[in-house]
Amino acid sequence: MPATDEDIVRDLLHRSTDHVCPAATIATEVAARQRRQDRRRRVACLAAASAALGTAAGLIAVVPGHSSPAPGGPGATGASRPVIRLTADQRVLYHLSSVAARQPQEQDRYAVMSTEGDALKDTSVIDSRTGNMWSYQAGTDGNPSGKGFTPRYSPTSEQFAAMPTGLAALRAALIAQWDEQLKPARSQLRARERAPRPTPVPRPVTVTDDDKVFQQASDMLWNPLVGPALQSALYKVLAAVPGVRVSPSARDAAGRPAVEISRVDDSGLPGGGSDGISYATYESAATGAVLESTVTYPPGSAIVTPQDPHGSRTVVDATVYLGVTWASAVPADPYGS
Amino acid sequence: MDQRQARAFEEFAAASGAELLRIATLLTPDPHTAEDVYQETLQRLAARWSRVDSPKAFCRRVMHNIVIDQTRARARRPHELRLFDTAEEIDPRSAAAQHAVELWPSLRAALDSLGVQQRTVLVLRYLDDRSEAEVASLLGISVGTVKSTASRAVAHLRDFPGLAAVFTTTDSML
Repeated sequence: MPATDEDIVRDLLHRSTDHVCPAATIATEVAARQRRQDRRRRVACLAAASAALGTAAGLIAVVPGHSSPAPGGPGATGASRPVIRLTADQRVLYHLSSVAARQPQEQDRYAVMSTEGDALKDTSVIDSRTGNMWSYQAGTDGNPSGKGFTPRYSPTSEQFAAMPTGLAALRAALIAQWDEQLKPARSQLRARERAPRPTPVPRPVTVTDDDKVFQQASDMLWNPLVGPALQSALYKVLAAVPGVRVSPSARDAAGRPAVEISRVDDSGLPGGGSDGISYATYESAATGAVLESTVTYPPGSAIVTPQDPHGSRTVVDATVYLGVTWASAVPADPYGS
Repeated sequence: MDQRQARAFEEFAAASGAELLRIATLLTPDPHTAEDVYQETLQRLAARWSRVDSPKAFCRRVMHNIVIDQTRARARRPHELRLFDTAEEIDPRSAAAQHAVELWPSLRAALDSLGVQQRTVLVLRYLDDRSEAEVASLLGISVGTVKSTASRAVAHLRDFPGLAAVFTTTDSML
Protein backbone atom coordinates (compact mmCIF):
# COMPACT_ATOMS: atom_id res chain seq x y z
CA MET A 1 0.00 0.00 0.00
CA PRO A 2 1.53 3.37 -0.99
CA ALA A 3 2.53 5.45 2.01
CA THR A 4 3.59 8.90 0.84
CA ASP A 5 2.02 11.28 -1.68
CA GLU A 6 4.89 10.51 -4.05
CA ASP A 7 4.22 6.79 -3.75
CA ILE A 8 0.53 7.37 -4.44
CA VAL A 9 1.33 9.37 -7.57
CA ARG A 10 3.79 6.69 -8.67
CA ASP A 11 1.16 4.01 -8.15
CA LEU A 12 -1.49 6.06 -9.97
CA LEU A 13 0.69 6.70 -13.00
CA HIS A 14 1.76 3.06 -13.27
CA ARG A 15 -1.70 1.58 -12.80
CA SER A 16 -3.34 3.95 -15.24
CA THR A 17 -0.92 3.08 -18.03
CA ASP A 18 -0.29 -0.61 -17.40
CA HIS A 19 -2.60 -1.50 -20.28
CA VAL A 20 -0.73 0.68 -22.80
CA CYS A 21 1.23 -1.21 -25.42
CA PRO A 22 2.30 -0.03 -28.89
CA ALA A 23 1.61 -2.02 -32.05
CA ALA A 24 4.73 -4.03 -32.90
CA THR A 25 4.47 -2.96 -36.52
CA ILE A 26 5.10 0.72 -35.79
CA ALA A 27 8.85 0.26 -35.34
CA THR A 28 9.04 -1.97 -38.44
CA GLU A 29 7.22 0.66 -40.49
CA VAL A 30 9.48 3.41 -39.17
CA ALA A 31 12.64 1.40 -39.94
CA ALA A 32 11.41 0.54 -43.45
CA ARG A 33 10.53 4.17 -44.14
CA GLN A 34 13.95 5.27 -42.90
CA ARG A 35 15.70 2.74 -45.13
CA ARG A 36 13.72 4.00 -48.12
CA GLN A 37 14.56 7.61 -47.33
CA ASP A 38 18.23 6.73 -46.87
CA ARG A 39 18.31 5.01 -50.23
CA ARG A 40 16.74 8.00 -51.94
CA ARG A 41 18.99 10.49 -50.21
CA ARG A 42 22.09 8.65 -51.31
CA VAL A 43 21.55 10.11 -54.76
CA ALA A 44 21.15 13.60 -53.34
CA CYS A 45 24.84 14.33 -53.64
CA LEU A 46 26.34 17.74 -53.11
CA ALA A 47 26.80 20.04 -56.04
CA ALA A 48 30.51 20.07 -55.29
CA ALA A 49 30.61 16.30 -55.51
CA SER A 50 28.96 16.46 -58.92
CA ALA A 51 31.69 18.76 -60.15
CA ALA A 52 34.34 16.43 -58.75
CA LEU A 53 32.67 13.50 -60.46
CA GLY A 54 32.86 15.25 -63.78
CA THR A 55 36.62 15.52 -63.30
CA ALA A 56 36.86 11.89 -62.27
CA ALA A 57 34.88 10.92 -65.32
CA GLY A 58 37.40 12.59 -67.56
CA LEU A 59 40.23 10.67 -65.93
CA ILE A 60 38.50 7.31 -66.13
CA ALA A 61 37.77 7.76 -69.80
CA VAL A 62 41.46 7.66 -70.72
CA VAL A 63 42.73 4.75 -68.62
CA PRO A 64 44.18 1.87 -70.68
CA GLY A 65 41.57 -0.71 -71.52
CA HIS A 66 38.74 1.79 -71.38
CA SER A 67 39.90 4.18 -74.07
CA SER A 68 38.19 4.39 -77.40
CA PRO A 69 40.38 3.55 -80.40
CA ALA A 70 41.64 6.58 -82.23
CA PRO A 71 40.22 7.03 -85.73
CA GLY A 72 42.47 5.28 -88.17
CA GLY A 73 44.58 3.77 -85.42
CA PRO A 74 44.89 0.18 -84.21
CA GLY A 75 41.54 -1.30 -83.36
CA ALA A 76 39.63 1.13 -85.53
CA THR A 77 38.67 -1.45 -88.09
CA GLY A 78 35.71 -3.71 -87.58
CA ALA A 79 37.83 -6.82 -88.21
CA SER A 80 40.13 -6.26 -85.23
CA ARG A 81 37.44 -5.34 -82.69
CA PRO A 82 36.23 -8.11 -80.39
CA VAL A 83 32.69 -9.22 -80.98
CA ILE A 84 30.50 -8.40 -77.98
CA ARG A 85 27.59 -10.75 -77.48
CA LEU A 86 24.83 -9.49 -75.27
CA THR A 87 22.93 -11.87 -73.06
CA ALA A 88 19.13 -11.92 -73.22
CA ASP A 89 18.98 -9.84 -70.03
CA GLN A 90 21.38 -7.29 -71.44
CA ARG A 91 19.38 -7.04 -74.67
CA VAL A 92 16.26 -6.17 -72.65
CA LEU A 93 18.14 -3.50 -70.75
CA TYR A 94 19.58 -2.07 -73.97
CA HIS A 95 16.05 -1.96 -75.36
CA LEU A 96 14.95 0.02 -72.27
CA SER A 97 17.95 2.26 -72.79
CA SER A 98 16.94 3.13 -76.34
CA VAL A 99 13.29 3.66 -75.32
CA ALA A 100 14.40 6.01 -72.52
CA ALA A 101 16.67 7.94 -74.90
CA ARG A 102 13.70 8.67 -77.18
CA GLN A 103 11.62 10.30 -74.41
CA PRO A 104 11.23 14.08 -74.62
CA GLN A 105 13.19 16.35 -72.28
CA GLU A 106 10.63 18.02 -70.02
CA GLN A 107 10.61 21.83 -70.03
CA ASP A 108 8.27 22.67 -67.12
CA ARG A 109 9.80 23.44 -63.74
CA TYR A 110 7.86 21.17 -61.37
CA ALA A 111 7.57 17.38 -61.55
CA VAL A 112 4.39 16.09 -59.90
CA MET A 113 4.80 12.45 -58.93
CA SER A 114 2.06 10.23 -57.50
CA THR A 115 3.14 7.21 -55.47
CA GLU A 116 1.66 4.62 -53.18
CA GLY A 117 3.56 2.85 -50.40
CA ASP A 118 2.74 1.51 -46.91
CA ALA A 119 -0.93 1.69 -48.02
CA LEU A 120 -0.63 5.48 -48.22
CA LYS A 121 -1.00 7.66 -51.29
CA ASP A 122 1.50 10.47 -51.71
CA THR A 123 1.89 13.23 -54.24
CA SER A 124 5.36 14.75 -54.40
CA VAL A 125 6.21 17.96 -56.20
CA ILE A 126 9.91 18.32 -56.98
CA ASP A 127 11.37 21.63 -58.14
CA SER A 128 13.76 20.82 -60.96
CA ARG A 129 15.76 24.01 -60.33
CA THR A 130 16.31 23.75 -56.57
CA GLY A 131 15.64 20.08 -55.73
CA ASN A 132 13.15 21.18 -53.05
CA MET A 133 10.18 18.91 -52.53
CA TRP A 134 6.61 19.41 -51.31
CA SER A 135 4.94 16.17 -50.29
CA TYR A 136 1.22 15.70 -49.84
CA GLN A 137 -0.24 12.60 -48.24
CA ALA A 138 -3.81 11.33 -48.38
CA GLY A 139 -5.45 10.92 -44.97
CA THR A 140 -6.42 7.48 -43.76
CA ASP A 141 -8.80 6.04 -41.16
CA GLY A 142 -10.44 9.39 -40.56
CA ASN A 143 -7.12 11.18 -40.00
CA PRO A 144 -6.58 14.39 -41.94
CA SER A 145 -4.22 14.47 -44.88
CA GLY A 146 -0.77 15.92 -44.36
CA LYS A 147 1.91 17.84 -46.19
CA GLY A 148 5.57 18.49 -45.75
CA PHE A 149 8.47 20.36 -47.28
CA THR A 150 12.00 19.03 -47.69
CA PRO A 151 14.65 21.44 -48.94
CA ARG A 152 17.22 20.04 -51.40
CA TYR A 153 15.53 16.63 -51.45
CA SER A 154 16.88 15.78 -54.89
CA PRO A 155 19.74 16.89 -57.10
CA THR A 156 18.54 19.48 -59.58
CA SER A 157 17.96 18.76 -63.26
CA GLU A 158 21.13 20.71 -63.97
CA GLN A 159 23.18 18.53 -61.60
CA PHE A 160 21.79 15.38 -63.18
CA ALA A 161 22.53 16.77 -66.64
CA ALA A 162 26.16 17.38 -65.58
CA MET A 163 26.72 13.71 -64.83
CA PRO A 164 28.68 11.70 -67.38
CA THR A 165 26.82 9.41 -69.78
CA GLY A 166 29.79 7.33 -70.96
CA LEU A 167 29.51 3.90 -69.36
CA ALA A 168 32.90 3.65 -67.64
CA ALA A 169 32.72 7.24 -66.49
CA LEU A 170 29.18 6.90 -65.19
CA ARG A 171 30.04 3.70 -63.30
CA ALA A 172 33.01 5.46 -61.67
CA ALA A 173 30.80 8.43 -60.84
CA LEU A 174 28.19 6.25 -59.14
CA ILE A 175 30.86 4.57 -57.01
CA ALA A 176 32.39 7.93 -56.10
CA GLN A 177 28.94 9.26 -55.16
CA TRP A 178 28.41 6.36 -52.79
CA ASP A 179 31.78 6.90 -51.13
CA GLU A 180 31.15 10.65 -50.88
CA GLN A 181 27.90 10.07 -49.03
CA LEU A 182 29.51 7.69 -46.57
CA LYS A 183 32.20 10.20 -45.57
CA PRO A 184 30.23 11.94 -42.77
CA ALA A 185 29.28 8.60 -41.16
CA ARG A 186 32.88 7.35 -41.37
CA SER A 187 34.30 10.49 -39.82
CA GLN A 188 31.76 10.23 -36.98
CA LEU A 189 32.85 6.64 -36.31
CA ARG A 190 36.50 7.71 -36.25
CA ALA A 191 35.64 10.51 -33.83
CA ARG A 192 33.89 8.06 -31.52
CA GLU A 193 36.97 5.81 -31.54
CA ARG A 194 39.27 8.75 -30.75
CA ALA A 195 37.05 10.19 -27.99
CA PRO A 196 38.49 10.33 -24.43
CA ARG A 197 35.88 7.74 -23.45
CA PRO A 198 35.61 5.67 -26.68
CA THR A 199 32.27 4.05 -27.35
CA PRO A 200 32.02 0.73 -29.21
CA VAL A 201 31.67 1.20 -32.94
CA PRO A 202 30.05 -1.34 -35.26
CA ARG A 203 32.28 -3.42 -37.49
CA PRO A 204 32.41 -1.77 -40.90
CA VAL A 205 30.57 -3.39 -43.78
CA THR A 206 32.61 -3.68 -46.96
CA VAL A 207 30.32 -2.86 -49.86
CA THR A 208 31.39 -4.08 -53.29
CA ASP A 209 31.57 -1.70 -56.24
CA ASP A 210 28.86 -3.67 -58.03
CA ASP A 211 26.52 -3.21 -55.04
CA LYS A 212 27.23 0.50 -55.04
CA VAL A 213 26.59 0.84 -58.76
CA PHE A 214 23.34 -1.13 -58.73
CA GLN A 215 21.91 0.66 -55.73
CA GLN A 216 22.89 4.13 -56.93
CA ALA A 217 21.62 3.51 -60.47
CA SER A 218 18.34 1.95 -59.39
CA ASP A 219 17.86 4.76 -56.87
CA MET A 220 18.18 7.34 -59.62
CA LEU A 221 15.87 5.79 -62.17
CA TRP A 222 12.65 6.71 -60.34
CA ASN A 223 13.60 10.39 -60.17
CA PRO A 224 11.70 12.37 -62.83
CA LEU A 225 14.48 15.00 -62.91
CA VAL A 226 16.84 12.46 -64.49
CA GLY A 227 16.89 13.35 -68.18
CA PRO A 228 16.55 10.91 -71.11
CA ALA A 229 20.30 10.74 -71.82
CA LEU A 230 21.26 9.88 -68.23
CA GLN A 231 18.40 7.44 -67.82
CA SER A 232 19.41 5.72 -71.04
CA ALA A 233 23.02 5.45 -69.81
CA LEU A 234 21.90 4.11 -66.41
CA TYR A 235 20.17 1.14 -68.08
CA LYS A 236 23.37 0.36 -69.97
CA VAL A 237 25.42 0.58 -66.79
CA LEU A 238 23.02 -1.83 -65.09
CA ALA A 239 23.43 -4.23 -68.02
CA ALA A 240 27.12 -4.55 -67.14
CA VAL A 241 26.65 -5.24 -63.42
CA PRO A 242 27.17 -8.92 -62.52
CA GLY A 243 24.22 -10.56 -60.80
CA VAL A 244 21.49 -8.41 -62.33
CA ARG A 245 18.37 -10.41 -63.19
CA VAL A 246 15.82 -9.24 -65.73
CA SER A 247 12.25 -10.53 -66.11
CA PRO A 248 10.76 -8.94 -69.22
CA SER A 249 7.19 -10.12 -68.61
CA ALA A 250 6.62 -9.26 -64.95
CA ARG A 251 3.83 -7.12 -63.48
CA ASP A 252 4.05 -4.46 -60.82
CA ALA A 253 1.85 -4.34 -57.70
CA ALA A 254 -0.74 -2.31 -59.63
CA GLY A 255 -0.94 -5.11 -62.24
CA ARG A 256 0.77 -3.15 -65.00
CA PRO A 257 3.07 -5.02 -67.44
CA ALA A 258 6.66 -4.34 -66.44
CA VAL A 259 10.28 -5.30 -66.91
CA GLU A 260 11.63 -6.38 -63.54
CA ILE A 261 15.30 -5.61 -62.83
CA SER A 262 16.56 -7.10 -59.58
CA ARG A 263 19.76 -8.00 -57.80
CA VAL A 264 20.77 -9.48 -54.45
CA ASP A 265 23.53 -7.61 -52.60
CA ASP A 266 27.01 -9.15 -52.71
CA SER A 267 27.80 -7.60 -49.35
CA GLY A 268 26.07 -6.15 -46.31
CA LEU A 269 27.28 -8.35 -43.48
CA PRO A 270 30.03 -7.15 -41.13
CA GLY A 271 33.23 -8.94 -42.09
CA GLY A 272 31.95 -9.81 -45.58
CA GLY A 273 29.23 -11.89 -47.17
CA SER A 274 25.83 -11.12 -48.63
CA ASP A 275 23.02 -9.94 -46.38
CA GLY A 276 20.60 -11.48 -48.89
CA ILE A 277 18.61 -8.27 -49.43
CA SER A 278 17.17 -8.00 -52.92
CA TYR A 279 16.49 -4.66 -54.57
CA ALA A 280 14.12 -4.62 -57.54
CA THR A 281 12.80 -1.97 -59.84
CA TYR A 282 9.95 -2.43 -62.34
CA GLU A 283 10.03 -0.45 -65.55
CA SER A 284 7.56 0.30 -68.31
CA ALA A 285 8.81 -1.27 -71.54
CA ALA A 286 6.94 1.43 -73.48
CA THR A 287 8.49 4.50 -71.83
CA GLY A 288 11.40 3.29 -69.69
CA ALA A 289 9.73 4.92 -66.64
CA VAL A 290 9.91 3.25 -63.22
CA LEU A 291 6.59 1.74 -62.12
CA GLU A 292 7.56 0.24 -58.77
CA SER A 293 10.56 -0.35 -56.53
CA THR A 294 10.80 -3.00 -53.81
CA VAL A 295 13.22 -4.13 -51.12
CA THR A 296 12.93 -7.77 -50.16
CA TYR A 297 14.57 -9.37 -47.15
CA PRO A 298 15.73 -12.98 -47.41
CA PRO A 299 13.42 -15.76 -46.18
CA GLY A 300 13.61 -16.28 -42.44
CA SER A 301 14.17 -12.61 -41.63
CA ALA A 302 11.00 -12.68 -39.52
CA ILE A 303 10.06 -9.21 -40.68
CA VAL A 304 6.42 -8.34 -40.24
CA THR A 305 4.61 -5.47 -41.91
CA PRO A 306 1.08 -4.11 -41.59
CA GLN A 307 0.22 -5.86 -44.86
CA ASP A 308 1.87 -9.07 -43.70
CA PRO A 309 1.52 -9.35 -39.91
CA HIS A 310 2.71 -12.96 -39.85
CA GLY A 311 5.88 -12.40 -41.84
CA SER A 312 5.02 -15.00 -44.47
CA ARG A 313 6.28 -12.71 -47.23
CA THR A 314 9.42 -10.68 -46.97
CA VAL A 315 8.85 -7.58 -49.08
CA VAL A 316 9.49 -4.89 -46.50
CA ASP A 317 9.34 -1.84 -48.66
CA ALA A 318 7.40 -1.26 -51.87
CA THR A 319 6.67 2.00 -53.62
CA VAL A 320 4.37 2.09 -56.63
CA TYR A 321 4.92 5.02 -58.98
CA LEU A 322 1.48 5.83 -60.30
CA GLY A 323 2.51 8.57 -62.69
CA VAL A 324 4.37 11.81 -63.31
CA THR A 325 3.05 15.05 -64.76
CA TRP A 326 4.78 18.40 -65.14
CA ALA A 327 3.64 21.90 -64.17
CA SER A 328 4.94 25.44 -64.38
CA ALA A 329 3.74 26.33 -60.85
CA VAL A 330 3.50 24.41 -57.56
CA PRO A 331 0.13 22.67 -57.74
CA ALA A 332 -2.41 22.76 -54.91
CA ASP A 333 -2.65 19.93 -52.37
CA PRO A 334 -4.70 17.26 -54.16
CA TYR A 335 -5.93 15.90 -50.80
CA GLY A 336 -7.05 19.28 -49.43
CA SER A 337 -4.92 19.31 -46.26
CA MET B 1 20.16 2.72 -41.89
CA ASP B 2 21.31 -0.69 -43.08
CA GLN B 3 19.69 -4.03 -42.34
CA ARG B 4 21.75 -4.61 -39.20
CA GLN B 5 20.91 -1.19 -37.84
CA ALA B 6 17.25 -1.68 -38.69
CA ARG B 7 17.18 -4.87 -36.66
CA ALA B 8 18.92 -3.23 -33.71
CA PHE B 9 16.44 -0.36 -33.94
CA GLU B 10 13.47 -2.74 -33.96
CA GLU B 11 14.91 -4.64 -30.99
CA PHE B 12 15.23 -1.39 -29.07
CA ALA B 13 11.63 -0.47 -29.93
CA ALA B 14 10.41 -3.93 -28.87
CA ALA B 15 12.19 -3.62 -25.53
CA SER B 16 11.38 0.02 -24.77
CA GLY B 17 8.26 0.76 -26.86
CA ALA B 18 5.70 0.15 -24.12
CA GLU B 19 7.68 2.27 -21.68
CA LEU B 20 7.91 5.11 -24.21
CA LEU B 21 4.25 4.95 -25.17
CA ARG B 22 3.27 5.03 -21.47
CA ILE B 23 5.28 8.22 -21.06
CA ALA B 24 3.72 9.69 -24.21
CA THR B 25 0.25 8.75 -22.95
CA LEU B 26 0.75 10.73 -19.77
CA LEU B 27 2.36 13.70 -21.52
CA THR B 28 -0.37 14.19 -24.13
CA PRO B 29 -4.08 14.99 -23.98
CA ASP B 30 -5.39 11.84 -25.70
CA PRO B 31 -4.26 8.36 -26.83
CA HIS B 32 -4.18 9.28 -30.53
CA THR B 33 -1.81 12.18 -29.90
CA ALA B 34 0.27 9.87 -27.70
CA GLU B 35 0.65 7.38 -30.55
CA ASP B 36 1.57 10.19 -32.94
CA VAL B 37 4.20 11.47 -30.50
CA TYR B 38 5.54 7.94 -30.01
CA GLN B 39 5.79 7.37 -33.76
CA GLU B 40 7.37 10.77 -34.39
CA THR B 41 9.91 10.04 -31.64
CA LEU B 42 10.83 6.72 -33.24
CA GLN B 43 11.08 8.41 -36.63
CA ARG B 44 13.54 10.99 -35.28
CA LEU B 45 15.50 8.25 -33.52
CA ALA B 46 15.67 6.18 -36.72
CA ALA B 47 17.02 9.17 -38.63
CA ARG B 48 19.88 9.54 -36.13
CA TRP B 49 20.26 5.90 -35.06
CA SER B 50 23.96 5.57 -35.90
CA ARG B 51 24.82 8.79 -34.05
CA VAL B 52 22.83 8.34 -30.84
CA ASP B 53 24.76 6.98 -27.87
CA SER B 54 21.81 6.64 -25.49
CA PRO B 55 18.56 5.97 -27.37
CA LYS B 56 16.46 6.01 -24.19
CA ALA B 57 17.66 9.44 -23.09
CA PHE B 58 17.36 10.69 -26.67
CA CYS B 59 13.73 9.53 -26.88
CA ARG B 60 12.74 11.19 -23.62
CA ARG B 61 14.30 14.48 -24.65
CA VAL B 62 12.74 14.35 -28.13
CA MET B 63 9.34 13.43 -26.71
CA HIS B 64 9.45 16.42 -24.38
CA ASN B 65 10.36 18.72 -27.29
CA ILE B 66 7.57 17.36 -29.48
CA VAL B 67 5.03 17.82 -26.68
CA ILE B 68 6.17 21.42 -26.14
CA ASP B 69 5.84 22.11 -29.88
CA GLN B 70 2.37 20.57 -29.96
CA THR B 71 1.26 22.49 -26.87
CA ARG B 72 2.33 25.75 -28.47
CA ALA B 73 0.57 24.81 -31.70
CA ARG B 74 -2.61 23.89 -29.79
CA ALA B 75 -2.51 27.19 -27.93
CA ARG B 76 -2.75 29.00 -31.25
CA ARG B 77 -5.84 27.02 -32.31
CA PRO B 78 -9.43 27.49 -31.05
CA HIS B 79 -10.15 25.42 -27.94
CA GLU B 80 -11.72 22.06 -28.72
CA LEU B 81 -14.46 20.73 -26.49
CA ARG B 82 -14.33 17.06 -25.55
CA LEU B 83 -17.31 14.93 -26.50
CA PHE B 84 -16.93 12.62 -23.52
CA ASP B 85 -15.70 13.69 -20.12
CA THR B 86 -17.20 11.33 -17.60
CA ALA B 87 -15.19 10.86 -14.43
CA GLU B 88 -17.18 8.28 -12.51
CA GLU B 89 -17.48 8.33 -8.75
CA ILE B 90 -15.78 5.06 -7.87
CA ASP B 91 -13.18 3.94 -5.43
CA PRO B 92 -10.01 4.87 -7.32
CA ARG B 93 -7.81 3.00 -4.86
CA SER B 94 -8.93 -0.39 -6.17
CA ALA B 95 -6.10 -2.41 -7.60
CA ALA B 96 -8.40 -3.96 -10.17
CA ALA B 97 -7.34 -3.09 -13.69
CA GLN B 98 -10.81 -2.01 -14.68
CA HIS B 99 -10.92 0.48 -11.83
CA ALA B 100 -7.55 1.84 -12.84
CA VAL B 101 -9.03 2.48 -16.27
CA GLU B 102 -12.09 4.12 -14.68
CA LEU B 103 -9.80 6.38 -12.70
CA TRP B 104 -8.18 7.50 -15.88
CA PRO B 105 -10.47 10.48 -16.74
CA SER B 106 -9.78 12.13 -13.38
CA LEU B 107 -6.05 11.59 -13.66
CA ARG B 108 -6.13 12.83 -17.25
CA ALA B 109 -7.97 16.00 -16.22
CA ALA B 110 -5.49 16.55 -13.41
CA LEU B 111 -2.53 16.12 -15.73
CA ASP B 112 -4.11 18.40 -18.34
CA SER B 113 -4.33 21.14 -15.74
CA LEU B 114 -0.55 21.02 -15.17
CA GLY B 115 1.98 22.95 -17.23
CA VAL B 116 4.13 21.04 -19.73
CA GLN B 117 7.24 21.16 -17.55
CA GLN B 118 5.37 20.13 -14.39
CA ARG B 119 3.75 17.27 -16.24
CA THR B 120 7.03 16.08 -17.75
CA VAL B 121 8.88 16.24 -14.45
CA LEU B 122 6.06 14.30 -12.77
CA VAL B 123 6.06 11.57 -15.44
CA LEU B 124 9.83 11.21 -15.60
CA ARG B 125 10.18 11.16 -11.81
CA TYR B 126 7.30 8.88 -10.85
CA LEU B 127 6.46 6.80 -13.94
CA ASP B 128 9.91 6.54 -15.46
CA ASP B 129 11.59 6.44 -12.01
CA ARG B 130 14.38 8.81 -13.06
CA SER B 131 16.44 10.47 -10.33
CA GLU B 132 16.17 14.22 -9.84
CA ALA B 133 19.63 14.65 -11.36
CA GLU B 134 18.68 12.60 -14.45
CA VAL B 135 15.48 14.59 -14.97
CA ALA B 136 17.43 17.82 -14.58
CA SER B 137 19.95 16.68 -17.17
CA LEU B 138 17.27 15.49 -19.63
CA LEU B 139 15.25 18.71 -19.44
CA GLY B 140 18.19 21.08 -19.12
CA ILE B 141 17.06 22.53 -15.77
CA SER B 142 18.57 22.57 -12.29
CA VAL B 143 18.06 19.85 -9.69
CA GLY B 144 16.45 22.43 -7.41
CA THR B 145 13.90 23.27 -10.11
CA VAL B 146 13.12 19.56 -10.52
CA LYS B 147 12.54 19.22 -6.76
CA SER B 148 10.26 22.23 -6.48
CA THR B 149 8.40 21.44 -9.71
CA ALA B 150 7.78 17.83 -8.65
CA SER B 151 6.65 18.92 -5.22
CA ARG B 152 4.18 21.47 -6.61
CA ALA B 153 2.87 18.95 -9.18
CA VAL B 154 2.24 16.31 -6.51
CA ALA B 155 0.48 18.90 -4.33
CA HIS B 156 -1.67 19.89 -7.30
CA LEU B 157 -2.73 16.27 -7.88
CA ARG B 158 -3.43 15.84 -4.17
CA ASP B 159 -5.79 18.84 -4.22
CA PHE B 160 -7.44 17.97 -7.52
CA PRO B 161 -11.14 17.26 -6.90
CA GLY B 162 -11.34 13.96 -8.81
CA LEU B 163 -8.25 12.56 -7.09
CA ALA B 164 -8.56 13.92 -3.57
CA ALA B 165 -10.19 10.70 -2.37
CA VAL B 166 -7.10 8.68 -3.30
CA PHE B 167 -4.90 10.72 -0.98
CA THR B 168 -7.55 11.12 1.73
CA THR B 169 -8.09 7.38 1.96
CA THR B 170 -4.39 6.84 2.48
CA ASP B 171 -4.20 9.52 5.16
CA SER B 172 -7.01 7.90 7.11
CA MET B 173 -5.25 4.55 6.96
CA LEU B 174 -1.97 5.85 8.34
